[in-house]
Amino acid sequence: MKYIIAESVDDVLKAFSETEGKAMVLAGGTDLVLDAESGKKPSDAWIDIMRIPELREIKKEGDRIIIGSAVTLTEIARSELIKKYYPSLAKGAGTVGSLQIRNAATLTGNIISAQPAADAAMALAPLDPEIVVVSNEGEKILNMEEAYAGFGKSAIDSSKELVKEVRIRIPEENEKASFIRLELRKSLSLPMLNAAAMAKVENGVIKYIRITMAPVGVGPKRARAAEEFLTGKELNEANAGEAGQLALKDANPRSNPLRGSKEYREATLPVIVERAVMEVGAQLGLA
Amino acid sequence: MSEILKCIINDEEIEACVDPEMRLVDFIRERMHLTGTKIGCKKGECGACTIIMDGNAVNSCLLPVMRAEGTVIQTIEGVEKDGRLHVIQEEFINKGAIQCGFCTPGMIMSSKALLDKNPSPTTDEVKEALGGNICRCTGYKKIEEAVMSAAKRLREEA
Amino acid sequence: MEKYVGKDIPRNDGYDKATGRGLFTHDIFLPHMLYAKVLRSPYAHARVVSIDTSEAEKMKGVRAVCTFENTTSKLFNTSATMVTTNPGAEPVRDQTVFTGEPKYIGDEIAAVAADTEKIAEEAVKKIKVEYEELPYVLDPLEAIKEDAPDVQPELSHKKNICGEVIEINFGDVNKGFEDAEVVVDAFVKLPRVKQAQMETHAAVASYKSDGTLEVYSTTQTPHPTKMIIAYTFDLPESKVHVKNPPYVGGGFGVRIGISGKAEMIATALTMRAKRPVKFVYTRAEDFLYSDTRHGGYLKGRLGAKKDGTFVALDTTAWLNTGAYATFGVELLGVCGACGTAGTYHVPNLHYSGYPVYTNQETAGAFRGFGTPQGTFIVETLVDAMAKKLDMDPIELRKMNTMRETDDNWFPFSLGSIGVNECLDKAAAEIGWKEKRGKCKEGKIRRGVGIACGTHVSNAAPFCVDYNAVTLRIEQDGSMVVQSGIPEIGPGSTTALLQVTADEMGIDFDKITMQFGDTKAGPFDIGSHATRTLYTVSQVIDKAAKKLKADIFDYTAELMKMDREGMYMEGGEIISGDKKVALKDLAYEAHLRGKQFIESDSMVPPNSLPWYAQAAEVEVDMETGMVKVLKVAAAHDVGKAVNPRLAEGQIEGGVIQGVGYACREEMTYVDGKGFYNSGFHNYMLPTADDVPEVVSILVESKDPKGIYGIKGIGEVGVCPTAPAIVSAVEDATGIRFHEIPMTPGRVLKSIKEKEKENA
Repeated sequence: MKYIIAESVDDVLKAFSETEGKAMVLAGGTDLVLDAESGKKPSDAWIDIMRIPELREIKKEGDRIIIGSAVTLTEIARSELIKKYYPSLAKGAGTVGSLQIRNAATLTGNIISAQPAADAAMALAPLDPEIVVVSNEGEKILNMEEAYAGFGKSAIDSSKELVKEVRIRIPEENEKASFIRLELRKSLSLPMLNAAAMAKVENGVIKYIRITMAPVGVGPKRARAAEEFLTGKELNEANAGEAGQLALKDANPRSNPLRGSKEYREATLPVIVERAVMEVGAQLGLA
Repeated sequence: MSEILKCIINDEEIEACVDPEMRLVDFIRERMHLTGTKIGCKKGECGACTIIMDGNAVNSCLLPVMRAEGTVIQTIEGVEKDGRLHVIQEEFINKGAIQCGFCTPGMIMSSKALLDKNPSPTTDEVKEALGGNICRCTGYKKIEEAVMSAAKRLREEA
Repeated sequence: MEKYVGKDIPRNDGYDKATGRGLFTHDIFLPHMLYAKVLRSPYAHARVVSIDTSEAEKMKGVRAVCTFENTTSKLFNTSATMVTTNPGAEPVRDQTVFTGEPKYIGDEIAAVAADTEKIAEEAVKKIKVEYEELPYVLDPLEAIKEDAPDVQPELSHKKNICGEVIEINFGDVNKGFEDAEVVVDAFVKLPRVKQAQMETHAAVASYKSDGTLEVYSTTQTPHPTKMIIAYTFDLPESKVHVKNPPYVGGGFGVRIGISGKAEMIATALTMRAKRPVKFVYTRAEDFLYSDTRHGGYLKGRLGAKKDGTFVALDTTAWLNTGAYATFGVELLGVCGACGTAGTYHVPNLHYSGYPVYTNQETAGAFRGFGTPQGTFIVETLVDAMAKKLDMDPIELRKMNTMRETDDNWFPFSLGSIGVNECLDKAAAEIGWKEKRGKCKEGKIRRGVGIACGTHVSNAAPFCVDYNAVTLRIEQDGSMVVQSGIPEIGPGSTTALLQVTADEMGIDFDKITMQFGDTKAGPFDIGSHATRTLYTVSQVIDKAAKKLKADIFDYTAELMKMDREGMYMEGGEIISGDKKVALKDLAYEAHLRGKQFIESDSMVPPNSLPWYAQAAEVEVDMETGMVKVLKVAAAHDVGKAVNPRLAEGQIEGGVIQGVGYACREEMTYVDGKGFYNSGFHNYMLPTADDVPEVVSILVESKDPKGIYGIKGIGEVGVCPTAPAIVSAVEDATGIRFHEIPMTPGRVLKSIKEKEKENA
């Protein structure tokens, strides 16, 4: 095994060509190291991207916030910029694993490991992010749904593609996002369920809302029926409750021996979706 | 294939030939013979292997050894200076924060990483800093008390 | 006047542990050492039809391969019970180092020792085994049915019962129920939970062809472990040396005897390879292939007079001991003795305890050793009785708890009983009067609950329990205490030196203890049964009296001092207006060919530690989430030698109890085995998820232990779960008869109750 410490995006692209698809991009490494040991992700080389200066930044560019793919979850959770515009993302990023894990792991890694209930990716999902992927073929932009290929399976091929950054739009005054986690334990555990929402509300009426939930399918799943129902309606407890029930239409949770049976998840999904919607309202001073 | 690793561990410059598949914790324990850093799970689930790397608490069991390249690392062995225990170590002893002692090095490293950056942590910040360090003996109460008490002493001595 | 006893002396191993300098078994690396890995059964019950190790043996770096075919098949028991069963009774010996008939998923078939862990792991994968699957049984109530598959047919006198059914009878239980005016019944289901001590099981064994064996290990009981190894491998006990290095990363009962099977597997391999072998359990192996707490079922019936006086109690336990006995028999005894029959004065008692074999991971000792299970059924019944009689649960308890004058079935005098004081103090701290039974409405509801009980301070006279110490004055007047007792975390070796310092009149910092080593002294049963401080302090007291007498006699003669009224204080021997420093005396004695040394051993008496814990909870009625807000834990410790260390025992126990009540559970998936392979899928509490714990030390000064000491180690966990269940009932009106109260279980019951009410 070879260990390549990349110092620029070009270094990574060069390493992709030289290793002919037999290398893997290594960011935080908190998942990859375990996967490699269990034989799940064999490779001849690791390309360490954590020293690439341009990937290590969180910055404001025009109406966008850019989060480099080598930014750690702790850096996101503590970023003044993120806390100002998207406290829910800071919360989600600050919930993954433990502080030690967040000090190494990245938001992009949380997306690429493709665990449906990954808290940081989940908090990001309703913000409609642009995931910027570069390879020797050029640059492409994926939306959240396009990034997931299946359960635990990413659409991004880390042997030839590098996520450079994640871009999110700076919200307007009346746009807020939320993240709710139903958990057995705060640290060192995946949630039983999580839900996130982002909405724009004008005069108490929802202009648009995006609601995501997990683990109820592949990746963060959109609650389309609930979103449709809420659009154009007042943000209040009754409507949020109704939306919670409608969320079940887009959800197909499985039973887990630890983190809740299908029945339990179906019984509580409406509650946490309702709470995610109401939390948006609370941030807007409506509830 | 092996790589050359250069880093600083406990103020000492290290240069070693390593297998990149090796985990940092194994390098620390088996090559550096710094066995104070413990292995409780080797999956990043318990914090017993916590070290401070470039100022941050990390699980040394989850890091490939080459991640240490060019970094400054502190392990539990580097916390006592010139034969004097660090205030955090003293408070762990004084406040009854130690029982079996297996989680203690990791707990102290997590606490130190916190207090190095944040000398006046709230209880919630202490809980967050220790959330990834499992202790099965103490119930955590006396560990939190030790960290708060060490913070107070450090502020007074500063 | 005590100078050290009763004081918060910082632990004397604090430096070693706070600096990482102290060694644990994981930290032992011997020259020329090999690493072991184990091949385990993928089936709950099977027969090995063939095994082929040739490919593994051919691998470069592989130095030994042991299987059930080339390793001793002598039957043993991994628990210390194997060598501590009372005369006249036979211990259950039901397992071998490796087996050709695996009885649970994970049973050991073979092991490899190789130059590196990686090679050993690869080699294990190259061992080819052909299995024939056999029928298996997983549930204890299923296992005792006549048509159930047999787990240990040769060793079971009754269908799948290991050892014997434990029976306790006191008074006449049938007559008692005839006299009863009110009767309540309950049936409860309790989970298996895991000790999850931080250092996984480990052993480094080194055998030399001259017939000597040295074993570093994580055992809580070096001497019994030495005896089990010597017996199994046919070695003279004098040639087997077992030691902790000297620290052990927790235990909570899981290694009273052999640590999982680490010592046995490392020994088998070192005897074959003739090189040191290190075997460290992975966290998954530790979770899945070593003793858990016993789970299972208990049923009970309690009869009382209308005024609340208890007249009859009948309980039965069917606990799942897994594929091998380990502590199955003894634990069912303690469940009955302390858990069900100990707390209350009930004139008519009956208890039956069934230790049931199943094709699962073994269950054995875990802090509380049967008492938490017994306490759970009894406290469930007492709360039900309070409800039926419309009495305050605390008043009902206080009028029925054991009094010093009550006749009872314990084979020793009761000693001091501080349980009612514990009940009052825990209730006051939680705010019982203001909070209990108040109208509960809304999405988030709060409630308070309470539970109480007792335990023991060692295992005598129920099983062999004795220990020995050697006390020695060095030539400079400093002192060495030697004992085989280990230090697994509580700080016993600090508290014992506090006792020694006061007994001797020598300063604490002049005394050192050698411990956790079979060469540190003669037989010592080890650290279990809440005994270490209680029993070893007594034998130290006994030996110290003799040691002082020897010193005083010698001083009187050499220094021409009056022997009458002579005493020692601060390292000085004083008589009248004359005094001599022990430092000087010891050296003068040395110059005359004399060192002061005294050894003694004893069988300890027994004392009952009492406790009551009150809990406050918050329940989210929409998600079923139970959050424990606070636990007030009042414990009658007799006398706290080191209050801070005593609190540490209580706090740690309480948090394990919170996990037991709300989150922790080993979940079995048929065909795959237990699901919980690590901390990420076993929900023990983390630092950011624990409630406030207030420990309250009640000192009833027991007449038997010196200074009034009772045990403390295990009891913190015993009443926590029933106290929390009681609090949840107060909050929601629902009594849970199954724990842990996971959100799934809680929400299901809330919905069912809503349906009933609708």
